[in-house]
Amino acid sequence: MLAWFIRHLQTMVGALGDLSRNPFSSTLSISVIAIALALPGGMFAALENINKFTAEFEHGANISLFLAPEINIKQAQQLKLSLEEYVAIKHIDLITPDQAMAEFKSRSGLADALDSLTSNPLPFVLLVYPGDEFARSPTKLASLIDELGKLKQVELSQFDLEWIKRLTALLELLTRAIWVIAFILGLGVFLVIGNTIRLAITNRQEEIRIIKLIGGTDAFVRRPFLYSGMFQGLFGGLFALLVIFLLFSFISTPTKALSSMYGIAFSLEPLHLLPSILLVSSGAVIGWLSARVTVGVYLRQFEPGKGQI
Amino acid sequence: MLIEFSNVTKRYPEGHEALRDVSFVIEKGEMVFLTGHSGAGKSTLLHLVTLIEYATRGQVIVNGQNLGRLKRRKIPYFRRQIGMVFQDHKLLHNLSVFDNVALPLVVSGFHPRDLRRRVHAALDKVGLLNRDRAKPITLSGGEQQRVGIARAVVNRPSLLVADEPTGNLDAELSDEIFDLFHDFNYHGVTVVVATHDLRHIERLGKRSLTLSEGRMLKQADSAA
Ligand SMILES: Nc1ncnc2c1ncn2[C@@H]1O[C@H](COP(=O)(O)OP(=O)(O)OP(=O)(O)O)[C@@H](O)[C@H]1O
Ligand SMILES: [Mg+2]
Repeated sequence: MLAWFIRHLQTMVGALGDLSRNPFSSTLSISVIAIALALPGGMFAALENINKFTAEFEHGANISLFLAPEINIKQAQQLKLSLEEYVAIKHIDLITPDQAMAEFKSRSGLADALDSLTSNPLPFVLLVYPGDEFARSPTKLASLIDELGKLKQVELSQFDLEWIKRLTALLELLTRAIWVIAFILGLGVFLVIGNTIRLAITNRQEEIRIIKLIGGTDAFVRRPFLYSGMFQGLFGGLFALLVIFLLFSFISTPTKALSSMYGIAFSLEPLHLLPSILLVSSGAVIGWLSARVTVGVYLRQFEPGKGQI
Repeated sequence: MLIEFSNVTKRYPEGHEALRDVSFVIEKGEMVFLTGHSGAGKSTLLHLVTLIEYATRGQVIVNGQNLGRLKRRKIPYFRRQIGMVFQDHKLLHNLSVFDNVALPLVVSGFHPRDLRRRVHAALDKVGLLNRDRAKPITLSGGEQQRVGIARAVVNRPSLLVADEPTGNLDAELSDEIFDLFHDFNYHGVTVVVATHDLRHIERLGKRSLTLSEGRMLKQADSAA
């Protein structure tokens, strides 16, 4: 067991040594792998951020109930209290016509024009925040909106659901597109590593031939190439992660500035721990698989009867 | 017996028949020379023994194993019972003499603790103990061949197969090499050597097998 472990350690170190002995070609192939992995990795990270952004948006989403003009403050408060009993509703903010006007003035820049109005034409508004279960399900939300609209005190129940539906569909499409891109680029990584392994085998033909003549098993011949492929994928993955983090830190400040202009507290997050591990390990796995397949194909020429000596 | 050929024919894919209906037996502990003109089929015969090639027809048995039936994944373990010496040495030039000789042990998963002692014993036998750190390229042709022999015997094989091991060496060096083989044989190793050099056959008094155009001509006992 110990001898086995030592042998693996030796080939592992040997494979690293081979990579460092050809710094130019291995840097080149690792860079190509890194780019191929950084692209889908970065796209997924971006998608995660968009999801987080819309989730924040949806979370703050509320139903506006414009109450009938004859409703006074007492009735509005009563309605608020009675509606808050529903499980579907988390809480309700009451906005008086005066508050609404003040906010309208400050936001619209029409303060002077609005000042000239003698009476406040705005109704009481109840901002209804649905419970989490309802906020997340567009169909449940729709029926809640419907029901609230039927109340006799309510003139209009409004919630802009369409754009969220559209955005969700768009994000779904994007996610799939990124998976396709990730698959194609993963195949690219597979081929790049396969090619460097093929070259390494060609360079070491004599060595392989001799090892097989003195009784080396296929597994023994394969091992250093498997490690080499795995390390290329692993380093490519780490490098890709670095690229993604640099890219995100590069655009994070302007993003923060932009979103604060829209009054949203949103900060860009690069890949989390789990997806990062996934990215790096998928690089390693692709490298290992590619080496396994390539060596499998090229080892056949060293079998008996192939005129190889 | 250690090696038995029964009506063996070897036809290469190009259609050339390198061996035709060859039958012979080599007993355990024998030392046998394989001779014949260039192209007679000596190398081909040794390739069948070491399973570098398969026989087209007939049966090859080595160490009790019918090579035609040996499973592919068992070939490495079969080869570990055989030491092979080549005319061009087939050393790895990026490795030191020590590492070259150690290779068969490393390949068979030998425990690192005993490896050093074994390698040094093999190098001592061929008189190159003091050159273990050298790169093969810095050695003379005769020395390189001795490294090749040390590598062939380090695993303590029961069979030693050599294909023109002295092809490029002068008479004195080639005497040394053959004396080494003779010594291994004296210690119980079965030795099969293909050579053009008929001098050694007489000098060492061993049996010889002669091939001509793929056929076995005579199985002479030169000791007579
Ligand atoms: N791999 C091969 N493919 C096709 N033909 C081959 C192959 N190896 C050998 N031959 C042919 O088989 C015949 C016997 O060759 P072999 O190498 O066994 O002869 P040999 O006795 O070892 O000759 P030499 O003394 O020159 O080494 C030759 O005609 C050769 O051309
Ligand atoms: Mg020959």
